[in-house]
Amino acid sequence: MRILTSLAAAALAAAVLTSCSGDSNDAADSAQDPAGTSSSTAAPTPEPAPATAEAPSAPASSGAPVAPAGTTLTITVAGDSVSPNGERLELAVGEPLTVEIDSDRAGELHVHSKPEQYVNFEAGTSTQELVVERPGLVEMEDHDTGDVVAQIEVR
Amino acid sequence: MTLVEPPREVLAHGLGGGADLPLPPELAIAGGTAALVLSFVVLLLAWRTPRYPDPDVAPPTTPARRPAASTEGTRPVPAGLAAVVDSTWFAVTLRVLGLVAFAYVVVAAVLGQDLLTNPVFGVGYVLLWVGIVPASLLFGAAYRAISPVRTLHLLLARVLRVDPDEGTSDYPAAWGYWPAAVALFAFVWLELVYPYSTELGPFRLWFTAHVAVMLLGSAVFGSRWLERADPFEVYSTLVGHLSVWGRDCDGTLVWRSPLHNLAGLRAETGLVAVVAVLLGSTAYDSFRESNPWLRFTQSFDGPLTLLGTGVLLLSVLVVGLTFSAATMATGVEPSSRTSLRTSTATSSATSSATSTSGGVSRRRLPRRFAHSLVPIIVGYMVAHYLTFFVEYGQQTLIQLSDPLSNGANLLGTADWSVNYWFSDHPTVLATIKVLAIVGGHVLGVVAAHDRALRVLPTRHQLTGQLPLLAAMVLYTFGGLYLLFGV
Repeated sequence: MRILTSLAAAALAAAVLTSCSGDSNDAADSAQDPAGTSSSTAAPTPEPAPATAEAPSAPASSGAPVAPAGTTLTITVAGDSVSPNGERLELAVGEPLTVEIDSDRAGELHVHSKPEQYVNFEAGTSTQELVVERPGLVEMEDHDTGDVVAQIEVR
Repeated sequence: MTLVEPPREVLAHGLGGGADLPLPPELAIAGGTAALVLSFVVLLLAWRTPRYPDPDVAPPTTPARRPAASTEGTRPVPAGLAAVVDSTWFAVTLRVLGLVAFAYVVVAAVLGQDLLTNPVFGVGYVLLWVGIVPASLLFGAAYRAISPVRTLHLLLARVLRVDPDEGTSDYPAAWGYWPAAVALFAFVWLELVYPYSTELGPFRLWFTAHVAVMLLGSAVFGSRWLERADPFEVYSTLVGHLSVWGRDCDGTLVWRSPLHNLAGLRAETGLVAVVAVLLGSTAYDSFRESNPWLRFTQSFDGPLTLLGTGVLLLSVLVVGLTFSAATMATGVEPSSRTSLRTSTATSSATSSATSTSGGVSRRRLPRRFAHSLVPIIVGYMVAHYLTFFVEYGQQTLIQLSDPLSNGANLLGTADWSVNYWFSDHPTVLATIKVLAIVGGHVLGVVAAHDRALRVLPTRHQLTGQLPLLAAMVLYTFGGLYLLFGV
């Protein structure tokens, strides 16, 4: 039994040692997420909030001079064909993600953050902003086709 | 495009879309290194004479699952507690609770709406399937005590005035755990491959078939059928062997070390298949969420379900075959080679495989070592499902208040909100995951080492362990890689 105990201690030590190098993450967590909730600037919550991100309200903030900071994801929808195909993105907690959508139909993106978020879009081009406030691997899925457009590593 | 209705999409990935971040590379590497080093530490420094019992040394004349007499590390549970646990009212209370919960979920499944907010999915895939692991680790073979199909079988037997343990036929010993392996595969296929697993119709159909097969089987073979065919009971009993709860030879409730308990698992045919399904399917679940696989399947035009079934089966086969090959790649006693020939010739699974010297025929070695995969399975399950269980489990408790999706708050949980503590602390989460995997690996290696001392001839004990050690390192590296590379 003594050997077992020392094995367990060794395993614990190994993990603790390495986890020290990652402690900055946790510090950042608590600093950045006081409310512990996830929200989205442009996108609605599951409630039927009508004010949500109907593209016309922000009519085509058209491609070029979007806010420079942050990451941009460009989505092209042509009927049942959606691109990109499961693109990997990295995003910081709380960092806005600019989503540019060029679509020939209306649709809805499901963002599997915790809690989930939904982005509605109309036919045409539109630009929306998304914020994920909880670390995780967040999939963004086109509702009509079920295709995963992007997997976002939120740290 | 408003969202008046709750979303009811068919999710590409089943319940609960949010997933954990990949393991940080330094943690994955540290975990892998620790597993490798500790494996050899166990091999070189651990005890040289077997410490744990082997229930199969004596031929299984009785169906009792009790390990042979070895009381080391065993202490009786305090009399008061044992009296409670052994009392009829305690057993009946658990059965009533299980049956009431079952009836509640049946109502939601039959009268509830086909929405993702219907709690039945969370009950089936999270509270039941994942919850079996913590419940059985804490309380032993927990599912057996509350199993609604077992309760229904007991009630039927009482009504018909027959002995619930006796069916119309004896359970064929040659079947062993194979029915459970098939049923477990059917469940993981529903959960992980079938695209409509979160629609009410297929979900109901699966569980209806499950209950029907369990009740029919137990009517024919008695309750032994449930011990060998009910996927949830077999899984729970398997994991329960890693708990501290056990029974002595005379049935006394005892506490003993989990490794001691684990060694008491009977080696029957099909046990390797059961552990292979459990480990292989969890690996498949990690793999199917990986980015390359996602991108491939989304651009794949062929039959996706068939592809998924094939890869799931392949994953199970890889585990089963590597494990069997690794355990058989050892020298055995000359006398057992003879017994190998005879048992192959008679091809009888029940033929005695134990040679007089305690050696074991080669083809029986995989099942004699199968218990050592249980800690690895549990470690990997913890790593893979911890956040899912904690967070979607809470979600399910909330949904359970409104089984018919009409705004009810029957249990008073509807106003709760999910606590995302684990997601908010990814470093803690990743550390727990790596500890679980490495811990499971070490326990597995120790269990295998002890069994090797018992079943392998002395001169092959060191070399005979190496292939299995390599296989376990492979599983652990594979698990860490999947959790890191996803």
